[in-house]
Amino acid sequence: MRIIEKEEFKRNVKNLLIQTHYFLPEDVILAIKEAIKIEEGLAKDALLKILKNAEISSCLKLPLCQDTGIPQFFLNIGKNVYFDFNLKEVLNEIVTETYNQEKFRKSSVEDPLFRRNNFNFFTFFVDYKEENENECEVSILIRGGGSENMSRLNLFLPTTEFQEIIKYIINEVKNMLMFTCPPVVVSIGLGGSIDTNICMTKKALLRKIGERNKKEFYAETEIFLKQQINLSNIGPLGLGGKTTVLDVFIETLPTHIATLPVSINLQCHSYRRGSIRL
Amino acid sequence: MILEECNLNLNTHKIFVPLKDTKILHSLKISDKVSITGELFVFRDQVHKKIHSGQVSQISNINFQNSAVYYCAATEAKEGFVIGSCGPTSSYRMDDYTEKVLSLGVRIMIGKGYRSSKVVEFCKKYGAIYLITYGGCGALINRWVKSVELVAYPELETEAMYKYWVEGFEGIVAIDVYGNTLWKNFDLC
Repeated sequence: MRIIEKEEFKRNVKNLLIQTHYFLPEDVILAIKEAIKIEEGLAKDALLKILKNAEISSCLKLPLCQDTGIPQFFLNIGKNVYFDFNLKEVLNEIVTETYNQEKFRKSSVEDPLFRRNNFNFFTFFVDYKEENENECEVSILIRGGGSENMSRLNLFLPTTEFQEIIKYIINEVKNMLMFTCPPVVVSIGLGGSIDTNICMTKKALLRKIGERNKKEFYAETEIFLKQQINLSNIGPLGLGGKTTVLDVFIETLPTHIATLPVSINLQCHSYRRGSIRL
Repeated sequence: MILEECNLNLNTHKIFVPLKDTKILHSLKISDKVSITGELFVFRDQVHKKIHSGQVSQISNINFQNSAVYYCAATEAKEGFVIGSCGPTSSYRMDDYTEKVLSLGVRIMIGKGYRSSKVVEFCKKYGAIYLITYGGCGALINRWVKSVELVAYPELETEAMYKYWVEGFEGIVAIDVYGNTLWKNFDLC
């Protein structure tokens, strides 16, 4: 049995949460640098601004985006790992202490209708590792309201032609793009039950840019969708251009014979994610 | 390296707010870049809703004539800073409340993303423009803000009404006074 102590867990995850707000992931920076090569005018200016923002953020410790959002934790726990603390309580301590200490915006309200008292809300999902039984992996995704609002779930008939689903995805993404901050990453979940479907779509955003689905058919579909959506001319920040989508991720799960859930989630360029192995 | 490359010599119109004369707005076209110096009113969803529903006693003495509004809710200022990260929020959420705000005298709206056709009509009617600034670039925009003042509705905390004094605050004309939109040539479905 491997015991993870509260202080060790807290120190490491807190540090990860702070870093996530100040450092744009390396693969995202590379993808933007690549895009700069093919853009000009306002589109190029916008992409350069995104890089400059990342530079200022890490140098001055100003959050990448003022929407410091909902922190979402994904834990992948080895079966021999034991926490000597209450996970939910400690995650709450981590979020509250970090947001107070770093003056991150408290972007949530306690009641969805009676909107008072800004506070910190977070979510966490637990899964169990099949390998590395003594290890625990903690991943964080920071979800801003703009990205969160640009989500869709549709339940297709199980007999729906795939072409129809592709058409639906392209139309919905184009509809949503001008309401968020392109260039975005588009995440798509096919199958599962509605709850696991959406969770899978979110979790796919932990993939690195350029990382393809292991099944060839879906890998090719990812590339096809990226090309199609980039023809829209929406461009960086909706100012026109070739770079609207940095990548498309597709994930699948087994599903019921009577249904075919499809969800879409957009992730803005302020792609705040990070992982740590404990 | 990045800092130097950022100057692409795009043709930029310099404007000062509140505007002395709204004539300059008629010379601005979609895709034009503008650089703003002066005072911005800063408020978003909840203040728009209050203004729309007539809860205006807290702001009845404020002169909005020819002013600019910036849709933003910043992070708090750390020591040594006047404000935290302060990028724009999605503007479409203000669309239903926009006419009331324009009728107070506001002539420039700054945010990010798409606006409804209703807002395009309001821009024509009131001779107003909508600017897109750099979404997701709150740390960069922080450098353009020189001072901050809380104006009204402090109970809304981060969503209260503020005034920012800005220098060289950049935006791109997305709706002009003639009702042209930046997205007219996009394939939005």
